[in-house]
Amino acid sequence: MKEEILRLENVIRKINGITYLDNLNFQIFKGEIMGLLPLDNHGKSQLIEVISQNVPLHFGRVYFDDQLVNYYEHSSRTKNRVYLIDKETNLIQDLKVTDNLCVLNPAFQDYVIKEKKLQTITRELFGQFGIEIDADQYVSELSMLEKTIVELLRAVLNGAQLIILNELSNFLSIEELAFFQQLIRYYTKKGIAFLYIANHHEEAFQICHRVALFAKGKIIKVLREKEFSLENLHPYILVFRRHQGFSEPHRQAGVFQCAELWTEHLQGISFSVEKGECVTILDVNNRGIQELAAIVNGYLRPESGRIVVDGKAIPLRKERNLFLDGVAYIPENPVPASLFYDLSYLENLTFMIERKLKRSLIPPRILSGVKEEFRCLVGAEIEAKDLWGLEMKSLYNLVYLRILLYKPKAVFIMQPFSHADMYLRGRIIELIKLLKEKEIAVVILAVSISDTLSITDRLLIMEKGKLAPSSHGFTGLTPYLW
Amino acid sequence: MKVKKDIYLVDRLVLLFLFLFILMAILFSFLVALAPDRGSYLFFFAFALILALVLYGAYRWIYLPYRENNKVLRLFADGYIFRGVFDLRVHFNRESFLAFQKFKEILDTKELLEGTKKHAEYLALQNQINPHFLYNTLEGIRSEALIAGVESIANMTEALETFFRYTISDMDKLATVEEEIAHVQTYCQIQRFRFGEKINFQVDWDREQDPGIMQAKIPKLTLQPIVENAVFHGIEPKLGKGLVTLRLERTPRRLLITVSDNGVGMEEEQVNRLNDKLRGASLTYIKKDKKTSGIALLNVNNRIKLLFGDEYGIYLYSKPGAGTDVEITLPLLL
Repeated sequence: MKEEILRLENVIRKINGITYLDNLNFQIFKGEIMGLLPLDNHGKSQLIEVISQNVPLHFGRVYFDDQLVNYYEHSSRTKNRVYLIDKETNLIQDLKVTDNLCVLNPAFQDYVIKEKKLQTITRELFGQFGIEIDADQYVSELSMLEKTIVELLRAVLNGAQLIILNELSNFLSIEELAFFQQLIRYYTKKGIAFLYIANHHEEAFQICHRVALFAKGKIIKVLREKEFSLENLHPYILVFRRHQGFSEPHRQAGVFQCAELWTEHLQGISFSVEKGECVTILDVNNRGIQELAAIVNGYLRPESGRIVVDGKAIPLRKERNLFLDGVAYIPENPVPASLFYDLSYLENLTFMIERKLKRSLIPPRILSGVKEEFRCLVGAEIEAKDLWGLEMKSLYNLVYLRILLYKPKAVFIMQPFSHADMYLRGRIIELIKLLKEKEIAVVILAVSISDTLSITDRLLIMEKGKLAPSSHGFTGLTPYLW
Repeated sequence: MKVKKDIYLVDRLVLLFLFLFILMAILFSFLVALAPDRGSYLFFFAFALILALVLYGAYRWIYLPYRENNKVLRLFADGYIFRGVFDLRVHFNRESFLAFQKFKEILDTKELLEGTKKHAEYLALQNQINPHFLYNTLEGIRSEALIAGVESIANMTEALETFFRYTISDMDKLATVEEEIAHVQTYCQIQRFRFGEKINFQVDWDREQDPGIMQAKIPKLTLQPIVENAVFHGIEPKLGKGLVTLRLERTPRRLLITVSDNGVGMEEEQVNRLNDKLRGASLTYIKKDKKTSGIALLNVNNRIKLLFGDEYGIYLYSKPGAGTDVEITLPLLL
């Protein structure tokens, strides 16, 4: 017999008059991996909040472990035994793994910390799964996978009955994800339930027992294992048709070339990208692309190798931001990372253009020219005095149109689809196509394949810092992705 | 509803408390002014501490329950809840508590249940005399007779007889899931005379995990109206074969039944409207003359809520082209 660990009944959550959760019904059974595919991000964080803590509800009831813990009349604000694993770690970075696991556990009652005893417990715990993490290591020194594993073990030790996994594929590579999923399966057998929030159905279908589709603050469909097929999903999603096959690696020199690039995690990679071409580098181990991005941004100097932009070799004797050499970079989740909400739309759009134009002051006629040129693309938004009232779609427009204004030779984009809902992903695809049309070479750095194949001309797979000889004909993906 | 413009009793109390609070504040400032002259702050601090404690106590003990009660009454007025209004955590006073209990007795579920039961019977009766239902069934019998299949005519008549007997019999009784499924199967058998292979019905449940689920008790005529809805609104307008799936699951306290069809589905606005209506118990739909969509769902939902409480009932998932899932939550009665 199934036992419910969580039950949300007709839950309505309103904040400042905005309905974030709208008559939401939803249950998770003990030992179940319940998938959640958010088609849009409206209400997602409020759902996590309602599950984790008994915050006031406009209406509805929340049952945790078959007990009514929150309802419309009275909300105690107590926390449920729920643990959230997200890209932002809950671990204390400056403490050791042992301390995070054992000492910060509410069940730890000792007055004296016996380090050796705790280390033994930690090592035994890791030993069960053949994990090689040094118990004495500081959390800040761990890789993303190691941090995520420590978080999971911490959640289990803390007695969490439900663990929320928020978009793991945004920060774990395919290989890491496969390993982590084994741990998840192991703990389901121990009765722990998981809410697996995924941004791609294929990822959720691989591991979940049921998958709920979430849109506009409500569950619009619950699919069971038997119903896991694209055909059943089709009426609910936007389908982005996969790019018609990959192009052959070209023989002539591209507008961006990198040859025999060596760093700690890059093992002599070489690739070349042509004008208007989109190349995706899929990092299976989640090591190399971070260093590639660091080189482009001037945070890291390669040990050896060569970078050529538009036929001009870039001197790499010291760290060098490649922006002025014609290589732009769009970070992951670019809105908070690269926009300034208090500046106007035009100021954001023309931010750093003076460096591109090599002038300290930009004449007003140039600014008004830019304004008129982009008005036909974004309409009245160009007049916005600040960015606070703009929708996410408009903010993404701004990020990509700014690149269009800089007219770089190449642009590196780190995980363009992470943190984006289905509708936004559609817009990002259009924006990347726009960059390609303007003959800008696009390099997508990704740890998960997600929707990149709908725009990619060539896929390069990076494994242990090396690019596979040929990624042409990479299989294992469905023809349609969303 | 017209809202009477008046100063309500509680508003008057609030005004009085406000007045007292201002008086206390004046007294407090007077003490603050006097304290340096007398050279002793002890009384001043004691007064401040007591005042803070009284205010905190008033907030936790009076204001929060008052706000919660207001919210419950507002939800009741807006049609979100029905029985929940009688279960306030803190009642206004003993008289209001007694009045609420009396109100509960007068308007108790029995009377409302009688209304929904009557309406369910009416719907069932309407089905019996519904010309389309009758003509189509008779047309089926005639066709079969023409083909000279005497046995099939007998089968069909028997199915009809079984169907009507179950429908008309005592509505007060709870039926087992098994009986309800048998009734749905009879209904599908009758419909198959008209639609042929287009109507398919299957039951999906885990025999190993949920033994005894078939003996669980549910209100009579819970499943058939929902399946009928699925057939008429989902499968009939659809091209090709239709399938209605009944999925049964149980937890230690609940019985979860999902009726899914692979029919044409519903528009989002219609789903939202129905789900909003299904959230609470209301009898307004009975008063309406014309037949509104989802009336059978509302009827079943009302009976469940009135019998077992606001936390049970029906929820709907649907999308054009994707079919409809009707999720029924009931208490597990074995």
